[in-house]
Amino acid sequence: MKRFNFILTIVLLLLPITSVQAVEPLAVVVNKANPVDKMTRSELIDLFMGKYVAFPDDNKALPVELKGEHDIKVHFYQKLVGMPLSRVNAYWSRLRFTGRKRVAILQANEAELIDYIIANEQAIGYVPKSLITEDLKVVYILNE
Amino acid sequence: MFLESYKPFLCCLFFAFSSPALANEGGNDKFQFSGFATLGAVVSDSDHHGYRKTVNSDEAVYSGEIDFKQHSLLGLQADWNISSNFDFVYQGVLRDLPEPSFDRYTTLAFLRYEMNTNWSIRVGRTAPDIFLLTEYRDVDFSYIWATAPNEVYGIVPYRSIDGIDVTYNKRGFGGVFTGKLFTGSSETEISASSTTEKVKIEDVIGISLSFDHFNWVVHAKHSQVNIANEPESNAFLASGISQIPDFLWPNSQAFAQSILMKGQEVSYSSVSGQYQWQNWLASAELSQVDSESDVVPKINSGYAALSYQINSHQMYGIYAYTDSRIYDFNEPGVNEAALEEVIHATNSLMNFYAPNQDTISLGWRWDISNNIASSLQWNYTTLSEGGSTLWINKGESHDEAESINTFLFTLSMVF
Repeated sequence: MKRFNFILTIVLLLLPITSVQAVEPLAVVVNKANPVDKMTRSELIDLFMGKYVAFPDDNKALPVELKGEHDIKVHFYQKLVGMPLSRVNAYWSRLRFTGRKRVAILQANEAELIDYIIANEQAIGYVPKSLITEDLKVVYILNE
Repeated sequence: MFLESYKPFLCCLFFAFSSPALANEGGNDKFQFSGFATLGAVVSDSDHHGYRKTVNSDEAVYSGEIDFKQHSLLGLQADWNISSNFDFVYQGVLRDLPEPSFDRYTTLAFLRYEMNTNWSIRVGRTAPDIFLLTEYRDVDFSYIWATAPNEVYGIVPYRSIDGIDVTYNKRGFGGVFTGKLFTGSSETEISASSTTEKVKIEDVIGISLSFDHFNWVVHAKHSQVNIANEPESNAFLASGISQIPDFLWPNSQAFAQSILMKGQEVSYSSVSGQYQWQNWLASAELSQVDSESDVVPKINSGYAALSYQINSHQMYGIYAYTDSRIYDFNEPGVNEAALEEVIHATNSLMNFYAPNQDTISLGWRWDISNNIASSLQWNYTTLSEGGSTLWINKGESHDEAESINTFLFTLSMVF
């Protein structure tokens, strides 16, 4: 019984940090007109970690992110680079505050992020798989 | 300097585009504000050697004191995305400075043009890419330690370079290669126990190369600068020595000439690497400062660090050292008994840039949230006789060997 209570406690503690959105697969999406059809995990790491901000055809990319500490963002970086958001922020603070890299475009919510990608041919972002529409092209699926 | 000449233009540009009306009009994708801050506390146990973060500082921390000025700072940055190819960045960092001014507080103010994915060019004030951390050593949230190792970074006084840099990026061999060439000028202050000297450098030429393979990265950097002004201490002592008659100091004028620094070349070189394996992070850097000047000896420095992550906590250890020749007056034929004070002043000047010490550090970083972290670090420094360049001597003549404990606590954040 003691062991059951212990496991139950652990499960209850973990519940708040695993939202519905977080377990849903995330799709990395681009503008429908973008000639790129798929990307590798390594290319996405280079792009979202500011190392090489371009598509596989060497065309410049414009990463779009959600503002703040959104669950989707936490989940995306944990799955992509295996880092908690604190370490991703620490890493990005080097790039941002040295002026080495241009910062990502920030949007307030998923709807605005999708609108931005639809309006910009160079844009790339990530959304829960359920939000994919015909106006977006999926280039990678995380956590499937 | 560059920024002095263009300050009115940069001010107008910054304030014009930082107005809320324009920010709203441009949309949140055009204009972004951000910042970083550190609240840092330091205690140290030496009565004679005062701890300081870099040789800029004219104040120091002695036994029985608690200091909040050495490591505390506030940085504010504005990024303006002018178009898909152009952006402008302004950054000001408020901190304790020996000679505060708008010019000194401004650490970044540049216009960038991205020609294509591979090439970009920046014109204006940028951070110095001399050693691995010199660009972001004041962004404490960005690295695990409470501070960058003094043995390597304490001797570098420059916080910015006014000029131009060109960067090339290319993906290949499973990673990303980056090469950067930069040129420009800079000025700053260097302090000793009783004096603060303005130091100007010009004709800076540097190259920075790196290969980043996500879990490991290697860097090689080399830059050289020309000293553009004569520090008052050097000029004063040289003038005094040159007037000493030959029977007391043969060829005193030649020696006086050798301690002048204006026009002398100084070079900075560094190789470094970082490797991440599961929860372990190892990093190391070897650096060298070399000069044509007799006053700046060859300084070899380095550090090796290892950290281990447990959830939001990281435990780390660092070993750092710096080594340079100690000058001991031995000029032939000089009447040392008659010139005791001059010889003492000569020894002090010739050892001003001669750090000799090593430090073992143990620390703990806690990521309190995704944007706030604390670091607690204990430094045990073994200081060699005559090698206290990185410290401030309370007693003018006290420069004996000593072992010093220093405790640092930083609360750092980004926003």
